[in-house]
Amino acid sequence: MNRLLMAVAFVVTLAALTGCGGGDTAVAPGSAPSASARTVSASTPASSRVPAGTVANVIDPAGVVQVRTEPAPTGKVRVALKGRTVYKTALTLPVLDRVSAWLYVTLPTRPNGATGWVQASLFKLAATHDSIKVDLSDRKITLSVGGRTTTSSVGVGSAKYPTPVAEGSVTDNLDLSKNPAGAYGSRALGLSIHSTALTEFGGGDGQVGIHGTNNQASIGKNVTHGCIRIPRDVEKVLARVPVGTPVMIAP
Amino acid sequence: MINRRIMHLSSIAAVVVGFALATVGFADNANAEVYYGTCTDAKAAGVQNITRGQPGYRPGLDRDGDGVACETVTTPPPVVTTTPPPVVTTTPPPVVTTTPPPVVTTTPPPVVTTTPPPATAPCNPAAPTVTNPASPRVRYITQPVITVAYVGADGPSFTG
Repeated sequence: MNRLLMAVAFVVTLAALTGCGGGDTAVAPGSAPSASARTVSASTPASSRVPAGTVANVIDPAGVVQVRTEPAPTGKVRVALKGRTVYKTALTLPVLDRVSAWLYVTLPTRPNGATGWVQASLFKLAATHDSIKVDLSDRKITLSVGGRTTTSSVGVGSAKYPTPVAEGSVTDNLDLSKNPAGAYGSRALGLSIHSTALTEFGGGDGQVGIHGTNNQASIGKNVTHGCIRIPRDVEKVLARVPVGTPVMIAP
Repeated sequence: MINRRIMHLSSIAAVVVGFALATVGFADNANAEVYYGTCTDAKAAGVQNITRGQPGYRPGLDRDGDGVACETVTTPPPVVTTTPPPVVTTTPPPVVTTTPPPVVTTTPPPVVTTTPPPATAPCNPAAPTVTNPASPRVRYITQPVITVAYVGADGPSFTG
């Protein structure tokens, strides 16, 4: 009887060890990354839970989006965003992270780099593959659009009204072809970035834009109130820039 | 046994001789029968296991009443000597040969059925692990280019 019990115990123990070993090896590789991923994403907004270049397009441009400080309905409302920009473009927000039903997004409001949580159910996600970089010291712009990279000299902010160093995104792509001879040329991009020297300009709130110009001589100079002027031949490139494209303005 | 029987026959022969002698001339001994006061006496006379009807048998010497008086305890010895061998040699084999089969055949099923639960339990943490990375891998549509025709008279209010 003792032999029987011992034999049973041995077999069970052996099987259990085998099972645990297999289970552990199967779980360990998967659980470790997930734990670290949660820790990282929970502490730092920029996470691997959403691919880089993810943007959120508002589903109802006629509505209002509450931006909260926490990913919860009880989170304090930081700001309420209209579903459309002042230029009637549907709201698009770059997505940094996602926690269940909430998206951590960058905001088109002051200060530059502002972020908050919005309800994911109010948006449809999409992917951007383009990018814009402005180098203030070189007064150069590099546009990576549709797989092609275009580099050009640009006019940037003066010493008194410098173009802010910031990261943001394109909020509007305006077709100005009805008045191509105007101060903004035939194409203008509105950015989520705002001037730090001006709180109001031309009836607006000091929003920085990338646009054409009717003063080609200003290209390559620090002459603007903060906007970035591009030469006429680059306007057609601006026309192909999707709203939500990330913009980085470097010193 | 054989010796005992021989002795037994000899004792019978002696009785027959005595009977013959009695018939010859000792009339007083005509009723002379073999009588053992005790089994010790019978044993001393070389007689044991006196069955009913045999000379010297009497109920007084057959305590268990099985018809055999002054029995030699022959059954226990054979039992003792024959049983141990079978017990020692036949019992272990049955134990060894019959026990493993039940162990082998009945244990695996419980092992197989009890292992999966612990296996699936630790696997559950892995399941969200698989689905978590899966969600970021979702391929979103490429953001379309949507432009707005600006129709204002003074142009947009960017920081020119």
